[in-house]
Amino acid sequence: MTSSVVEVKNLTKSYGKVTAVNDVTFSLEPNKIYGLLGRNGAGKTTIMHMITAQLFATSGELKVFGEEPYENERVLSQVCFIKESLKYPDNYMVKDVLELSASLFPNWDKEYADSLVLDFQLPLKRRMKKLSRGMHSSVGIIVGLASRAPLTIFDEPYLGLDAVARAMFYDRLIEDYSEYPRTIVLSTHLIDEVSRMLEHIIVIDGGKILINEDAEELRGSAYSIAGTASAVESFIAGKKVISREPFGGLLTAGVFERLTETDRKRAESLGLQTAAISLQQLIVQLTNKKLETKGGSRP
Amino acid sequence: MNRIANVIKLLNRDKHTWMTVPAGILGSSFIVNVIIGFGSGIAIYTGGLSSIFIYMLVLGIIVLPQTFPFAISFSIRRTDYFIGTVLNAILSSALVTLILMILAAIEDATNGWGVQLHFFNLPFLTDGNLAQEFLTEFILLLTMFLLGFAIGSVFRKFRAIGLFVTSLAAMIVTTLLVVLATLNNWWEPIWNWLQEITAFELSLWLLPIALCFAILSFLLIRRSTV
Repeated sequence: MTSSVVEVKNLTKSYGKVTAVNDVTFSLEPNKIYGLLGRNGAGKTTIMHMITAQLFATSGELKVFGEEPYENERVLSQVCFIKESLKYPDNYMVKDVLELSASLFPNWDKEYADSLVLDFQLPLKRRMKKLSRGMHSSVGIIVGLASRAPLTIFDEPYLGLDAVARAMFYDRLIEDYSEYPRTIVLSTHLIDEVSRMLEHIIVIDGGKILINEDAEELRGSAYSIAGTASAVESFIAGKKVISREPFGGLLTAGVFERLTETDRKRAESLGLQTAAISLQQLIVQLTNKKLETKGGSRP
Repeated sequence: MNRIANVIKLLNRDKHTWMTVPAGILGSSFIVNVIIGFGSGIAIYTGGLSSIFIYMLVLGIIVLPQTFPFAISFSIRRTDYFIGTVLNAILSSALVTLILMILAAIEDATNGWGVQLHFFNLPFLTDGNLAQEFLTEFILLLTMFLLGFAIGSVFRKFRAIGLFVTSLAAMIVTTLLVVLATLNNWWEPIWNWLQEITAFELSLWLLPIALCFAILSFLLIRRSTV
């Protein structure tokens, strides 16, 4: 058994009375692609900032490559964290960022970086602050890919990128990952776009871990059932229902359970239709559900 | 060592902030003074040189917001960032001082650029021998940078409220010292001391102050976040 790349235990970060990350425990195994998913303000970026020692935890334990990341050269040199909000010095040109990255990241592949610059059609001599939003994001993506850091984290790296460029990013990531396996964490809202790449999924909601499961497991762990309201109601009785969408006399319900053979047969006999729920759908419903129950519990 | 070299590389990639802008500011101040000297026809002593010292203060303030978040996002340790930045300021101050001394020598040799302008040679500031002149200007430049760096660090760690509290504290302490000096009749001895002391001796007094700024910056940067 290989040791974890990241080991997080009871990690908490609070700002005054606000708890951004609340008692989070998880670990990241080497050479896997992780999806860190959740709504805005769920605490994803805060967690990633703590893993890279850019923010300090209020309490809890955090080990990266088996060591404390704070001021630790052995850890930091193996980590590359690309975030959407990354600020570059005002006068930096694209080539300044790339040439500096070459000396900062030990595994930097210059040829690969050059080919990515061509792919993304980046003007090397343009100032970073003069770049369009999409080009700005491309620079981060190139650094993230070409650094080949054993732990590479992309925090919503696609802002302003069109669908073509995003597809290119996913393709390059998969290609390079299969050739140079490493641990990759992708944090994104576009869950459906990346879901085919993800091997393990961690969903954060309200600073807590909601789901921490293998992506394959998770994909088969929920289904939707549709038909006349009365038939659906009788079918879902006693099941873990995560959504309910009535439409006239019809009802579509999401069930957070594995669809067993007996259930499938029963649905068929009741004249109900079952369908798979996409990962995005599932996560939207799970994170929504929490809000609803919260809302409902108010006096 | 390599890591610190990377920080120096990171800073100097921004040639504008570290070279073009200060050269431009000092250069334009100099040219304006030459023109005035040419028009007036009398010997002129100008304070235009102070612009470069002010710029070092500004540079110290802006270097943190410009490069610190970027540096730690790119896996640079805070300690390396601090050492690299201070080392770069030391090298820059030495280089600027050297340039100022060369220009001072030219000014001497050309009878003040042909128009009796005293821009780089100033009474008191450049009174000592060459080594003293170098150290005086060097220490002054570096202290200005470190003062700015300390201000930037306070802002980085404690934001606007921290800067406000620190400024307030500095003002209160200064006021108390002034009151104390007045009550105890210290002004005359202070005035006498200032008249006797050379610029070089005065600059040596700046060293412990500069060191305090550096230590303060270090402690704050070590605890700073993105």
